[in-house]
Amino acid sequence: MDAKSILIVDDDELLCDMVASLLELEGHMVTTAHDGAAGLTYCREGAFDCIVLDLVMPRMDGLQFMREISRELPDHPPIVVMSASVTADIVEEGRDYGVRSMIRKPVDAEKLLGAIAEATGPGIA
Amino acid sequence: MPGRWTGRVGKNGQHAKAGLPFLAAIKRGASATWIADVAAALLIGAAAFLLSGTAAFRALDGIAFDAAMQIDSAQPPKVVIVDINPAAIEPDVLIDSARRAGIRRIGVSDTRLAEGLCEGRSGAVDIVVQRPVRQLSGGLQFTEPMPFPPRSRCVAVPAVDAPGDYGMRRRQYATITGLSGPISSFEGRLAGRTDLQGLYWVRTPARQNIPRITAAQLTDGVFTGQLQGYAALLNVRSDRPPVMVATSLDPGAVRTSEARWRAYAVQTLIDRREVTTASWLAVLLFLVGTALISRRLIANFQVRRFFLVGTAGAVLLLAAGWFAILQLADRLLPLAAAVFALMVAAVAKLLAAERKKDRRLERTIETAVDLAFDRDMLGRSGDLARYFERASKILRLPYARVLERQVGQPEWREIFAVGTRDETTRAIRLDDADRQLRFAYSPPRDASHKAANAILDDAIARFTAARDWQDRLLSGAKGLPVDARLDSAASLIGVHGDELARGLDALDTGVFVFRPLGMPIQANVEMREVLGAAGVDPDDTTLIDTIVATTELDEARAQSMVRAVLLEGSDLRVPMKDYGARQRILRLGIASKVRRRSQTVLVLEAVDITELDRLAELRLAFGTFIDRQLRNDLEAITLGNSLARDPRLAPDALARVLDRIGDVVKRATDRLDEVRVLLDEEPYAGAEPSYPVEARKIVAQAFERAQQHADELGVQIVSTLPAISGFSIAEPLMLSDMIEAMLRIVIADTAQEGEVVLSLDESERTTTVRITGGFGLPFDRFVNALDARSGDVPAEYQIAAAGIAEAIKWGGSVTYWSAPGDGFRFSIQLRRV
Repeated sequence: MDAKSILIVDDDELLCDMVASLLELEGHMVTTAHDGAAGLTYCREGAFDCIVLDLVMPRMDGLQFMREISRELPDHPPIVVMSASVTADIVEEGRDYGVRSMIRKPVDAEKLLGAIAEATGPGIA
Repeated sequence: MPGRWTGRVGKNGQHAKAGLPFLAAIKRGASATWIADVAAALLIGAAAFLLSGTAAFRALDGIAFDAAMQIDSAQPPKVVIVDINPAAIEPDVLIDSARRAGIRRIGVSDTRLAEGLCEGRSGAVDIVVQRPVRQLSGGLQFTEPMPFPPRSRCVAVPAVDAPGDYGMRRRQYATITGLSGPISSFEGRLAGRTDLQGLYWVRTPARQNIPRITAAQLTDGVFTGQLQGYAALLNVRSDRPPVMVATSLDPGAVRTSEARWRAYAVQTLIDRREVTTASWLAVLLFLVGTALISRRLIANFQVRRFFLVGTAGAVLLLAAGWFAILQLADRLLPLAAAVFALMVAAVAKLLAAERKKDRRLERTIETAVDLAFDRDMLGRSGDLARYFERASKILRLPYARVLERQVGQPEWREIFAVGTRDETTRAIRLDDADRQLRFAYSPPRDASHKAANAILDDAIARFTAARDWQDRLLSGAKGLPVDARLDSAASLIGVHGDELARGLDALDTGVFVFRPLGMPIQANVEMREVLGAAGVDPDDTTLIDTIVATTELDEARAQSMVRAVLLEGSDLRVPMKDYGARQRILRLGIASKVRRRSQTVLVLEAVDITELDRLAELRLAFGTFIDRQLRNDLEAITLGNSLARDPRLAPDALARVLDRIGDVVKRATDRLDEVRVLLDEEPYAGAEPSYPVEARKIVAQAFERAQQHADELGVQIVSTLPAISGFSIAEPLMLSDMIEAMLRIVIADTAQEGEVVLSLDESERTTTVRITGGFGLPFDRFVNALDARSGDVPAEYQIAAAGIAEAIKWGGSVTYWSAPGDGFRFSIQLRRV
């Protein structure tokens, strides 16, 4: 797999750390943000191939993040949602904001890597 | 015809047919009433008939006759009184003058004058002379008067007057019984009426004119031709005062001259208006009829209420009828006896009706009292020993002893005994007609002794009162007036009613009892509070109205619900509208174990399901929390596991991953500890339990409830809520109530078209709910309002204050500020997990 630049937005630092370690082991470059507002700032400043996004976060939650990035950066990177709060409404709303995949926690490494590979596949990024 | 039932009920008229026995029963009842009335009237009439002959009743009838004569009509005079000095008048001249005046008969009582007139030459005028007679054998039989010679125009008649009534002359003989048959009286002969027999009542109309002239006027030709058909009564002038008698002309006084009295008698006969006493059969029928009509009339009155007026009216009618018969038929009926019959019939009917009512009342009292005592253990002395035994155990009395024996038995039976007596022991004697009971006890030695004494004193007082009531109402009170017994029974039932009402009030569940067709009987305090919030007056509502007002059911569905319960004995439940944060189910049931369906009651319960709902929410929140948060932790562990097994991982990186796994496990354990209190067997033993809740959901609920209030006042609530929120520690109902109360405080203080701001922010460890707006109060007044006791300030302040105190127990905090012009600011901080 080609090295990708991936942004992880999750308020759970431990989980961020684990996911980051996993992705780094796969050769990706990883940036982490612990709430939606910080993630949005990173997106404005740098180019990412994929965003791994949690939904329930303080200050700015995942849905707000998706709305904001869709408004500011219509060609934003593909988003992989990784959350325990995935519902049908959120899936529906996520499609409008360019969500490629929604994974209900807990996810294993293989599933997460597969979702990222699919999101960052040729012609998609 | 409006207001009149003319149709038949039910198919094929079954109900109408079924009604026939009912009508027949009514007819039978009516016939029985008639028979009773006729029998009573016969008895009363017979008694009145017997009484009518007594002196007292006859005297009363005489007085009535006197009164009638005061208004009797006058007739043209047919009698003239001629005052005469026999020495100054020639008999023949007198007779001749009388003839020229037109006088038909002359009556004379003076013997010498009579002899002169009878010996005279003239025979143109009949002369009626009174001659003394002798009463024979003590009865009303007389010797006949000495006759005049056959050629004479004189007729001898007996000089006999009818006996007076206590000195009052009201009657006169038409004839007397002579040895050879009836003999016409003086007045009868003078009036030319020889067809009469017996006694007659003399009319003395107050306005009747009886002319009085002198013999000289007659002989001088003053009245020539003016006294056609008259009878003349010669009244010999004397130096002695004239004989005076008492008559109806002047009742109670002896002011009528005898000549005038006889003149009235003659006038009465000439007018053919003599009054005779009705026959005994007519009198009897009259009295029986009066009694019967009186009873029937009184039966139609509302007894007591119109008794006096009705009876007075009946007496007036009777008097008018009596007078009409006197005038039109010249018959005198016994008015006093008739009034007596009327009064006795009326009073007897009244008393019978009262007795009937009293009997009904007696039965009602006994039923009510029996029911009251049946309900009351303290009213049944047989259960009293058991009551005190149980009370001793419940109150943990250090010493208690209950002894009992039947009256008349020597041995006491020990029912219960515990401990040993001491100086605080109290001994109670409780006896009734059948049983004697001794109860001794020592009150508890701890702080509960006052309460224990009060409870036992109350029980003893209740037993004593119940025994007294029982004695008074059931056993020894037959002589007690029914009103007094009714008073006692009402008092007893009132006490029991109060006790039952207090019992209902003690229920946490709202209860409202209705009669089968929905008329209210009793609502307890809890239900009154619920109905007050719904704007329903429990004393002026019906079952249907109550259901419609407190649920989403319309009237038709509410009626169906009641019908199903009433006719099928169903037990129906329907959600109530929300009042405050409480959630209730309205349950409608029927008391089915009653003897008759008409005696049943419908019971409406407002069952508070808030606790059930709270438990459901707790389960949901707990499950959601575990599901979502532990998924994070499990994911971290899963990923860590994958990493740790990856051979590419460097040893130091492996160590870090393992540390991270340890951290995640600890965090997961901490999270489980957070909700561990909810797994206790008694989670509600302490304060309101707090647990992880989705703050957004709670705030949104409060916002929706306050929105209606804001709409009413024209205030806008501007809310800033996240799309998804994490978990915060709180008790959801209390938190929701607090936020709603704070919103209401601010909304009420905001001008129309103004804004109230509501926001929810979450940071990593804290969730903050902010409410701002309004004009604001001085801070000290605001603080005082939050501290005020119930009733002094609007309920919103109390709810907010309770929530603020509770938030501390959740590990959160509430800050608030207010100043005039600066508005209100509430900030609720909760722990975010």
